[in-house]
Amino acid sequence: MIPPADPAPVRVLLADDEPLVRQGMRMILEAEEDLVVVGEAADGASALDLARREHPDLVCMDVRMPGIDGIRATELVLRLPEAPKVLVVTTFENDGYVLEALLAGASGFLLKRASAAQMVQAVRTLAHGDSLLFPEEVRALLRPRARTADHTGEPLTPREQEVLAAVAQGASNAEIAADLVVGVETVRTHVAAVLRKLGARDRTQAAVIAYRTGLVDP
Amino acid sequence: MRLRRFGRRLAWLMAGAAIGTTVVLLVALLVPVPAELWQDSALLALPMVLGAVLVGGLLGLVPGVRELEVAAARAMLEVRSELVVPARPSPAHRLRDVLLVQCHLLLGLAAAAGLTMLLPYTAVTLAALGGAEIGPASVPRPDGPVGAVLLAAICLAALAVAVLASWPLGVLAARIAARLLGPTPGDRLALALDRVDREAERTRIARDLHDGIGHALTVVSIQAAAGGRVIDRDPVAAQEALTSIEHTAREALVELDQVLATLREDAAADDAASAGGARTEGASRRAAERADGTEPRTDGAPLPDLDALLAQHCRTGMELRTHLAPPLGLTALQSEHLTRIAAELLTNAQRHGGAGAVELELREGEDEAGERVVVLESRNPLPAPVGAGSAATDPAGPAPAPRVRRGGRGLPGLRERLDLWGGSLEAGPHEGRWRTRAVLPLLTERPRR
Repeated sequence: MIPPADPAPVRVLLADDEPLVRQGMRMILEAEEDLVVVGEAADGASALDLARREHPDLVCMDVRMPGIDGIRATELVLRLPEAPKVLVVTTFENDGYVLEALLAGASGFLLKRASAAQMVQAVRTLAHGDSLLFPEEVRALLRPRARTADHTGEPLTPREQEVLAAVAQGASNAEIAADLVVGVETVRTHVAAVLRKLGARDRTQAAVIAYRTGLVDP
Repeated sequence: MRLRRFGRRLAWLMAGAAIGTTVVLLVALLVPVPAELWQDSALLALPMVLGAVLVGGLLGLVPGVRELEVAAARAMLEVRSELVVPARPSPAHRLRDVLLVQCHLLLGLAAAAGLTMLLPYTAVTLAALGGAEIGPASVPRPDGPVGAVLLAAICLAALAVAVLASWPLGVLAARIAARLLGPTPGDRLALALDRVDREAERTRIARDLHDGIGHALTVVSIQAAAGGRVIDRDPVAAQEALTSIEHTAREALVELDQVLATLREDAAADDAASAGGARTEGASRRAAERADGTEPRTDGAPLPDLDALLAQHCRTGMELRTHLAPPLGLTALQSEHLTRIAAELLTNAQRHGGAGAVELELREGEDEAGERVVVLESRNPLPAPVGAGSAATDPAGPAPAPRVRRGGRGLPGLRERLDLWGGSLEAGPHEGRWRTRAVLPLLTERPRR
């Protein structure tokens, strides 16, 4: 599973107000050679502080924290120069936080009841950004928000439109390439163009924008 | 089936007629009527009866009439809709009682009038037809046998009509009773408020479950996952994870116990309210409490809920010493809150205090201004110091020890509860023990003049 092309470990920041949750996640993530935990924060403000100082690749952000909560902290962290990706961690799937986090710009979400393997997998998927985490759930969450915004940027070409739909379904570049019978490099170019035109920071946010603007039907 | 219902409703009407007749007779005896008016009794009869019924309605003010009418409406009129026996009848309830009694008497008299007039008349006519020399001269005597049979048939038909006329009267009676004995707008409001209360309680329980049990299970699942991940490489860390799981699970069980106790309390309250078929009764009483804020305790047992709470803590192994002197005339509302405060105090003592007996004291006192107050106080041993953690030596302090759940009610919640009453809370070491003292203004029943 460890991508050989990426030898530098993924730097992870943990933000959760429960020490036992942080400690457990640290144990799980640090057991992997390609992941390293660079800091722990007990609230949104110190998460922002640490993110500024440690330049993590990814922040595991609890939604419910005292003071600045996880949603607001996500927004603030994403405004930093060279912002890390945010993986929102929540206790319950249906409490509304996940949608809020996605709208705030999070790249993915994870339930705290996930297994250790799922947790590691989620961090890797987000860090490497080559596919979407939980595409079905994202689609379901965004369904009530379908077509609540307009795409005002540069229009997408029909090919880019196809690529966007595939990205939203959770397809990786290799899968899209096989599907459209083109090279992976070509797909990568298309994806980059789509992200640029939508102003999206990653595939998850591209899917969120695609659903909200009606470019793709959720 | 229909016949039986008709019979029951007829019985209801006849009961009204019996009382109505008595009332009419009494009124006729008591009201002086000029002799010449009696000459034309038909002219007098109707206003006399109507006046008597109006007066008779005052019977509706007799205590217990509402209960009787509700029972009668259920058993005899077969009213299925919601009927209300208010714990404290409002003027609206009393007015409805009077109206209902008036309707009962009037409908009864109407049904009886048909029967009492036609029954003797039919009997006399039939007897005359048979050749008996009775009755007034006005009884018609047909000549031929055909005429006689015809007349007999007419008499019987009239009698049948008189009996059957009670049918719509019975239906009307059932409608009126359902309307007048049903919930008033005030009752409906009280019911709605009651439901809002229940809803709020449910939300609170859901939040408690989310904050407490949900949080604990999260910790358990993550620590278990982490322990499993490192058990080969780092058995010490895995061992620590197991210890965390054990502690967290145990705390969660205590919490679950409390949530379940709350649910059981609610269920018991529901049972008590629905026993006797007057669920609305509780709501009305609650509305009444809300209205004047006080409901004197009249049952001799002070704070039964508190007793149950104490018993519960004793069962879980707490060494508990109580000094309970609840002020006389404590309102139900306040005693309920005192019980909840006591629950919070005991939980804090159990969770954060050291080993040893816990004391709980309830007494009346005076504040600096000389106002009467209720004092609820818990005293428990200071905990053994845990490592160098200063938070852990604060047995009930708002700064939680690392393993205490977040976002619970705890002391901040207790302060909120006391603020609501204009009370206060202090907690700190006192004579070598940890003391938490809640003081709130005493609410008793209002002095009666």
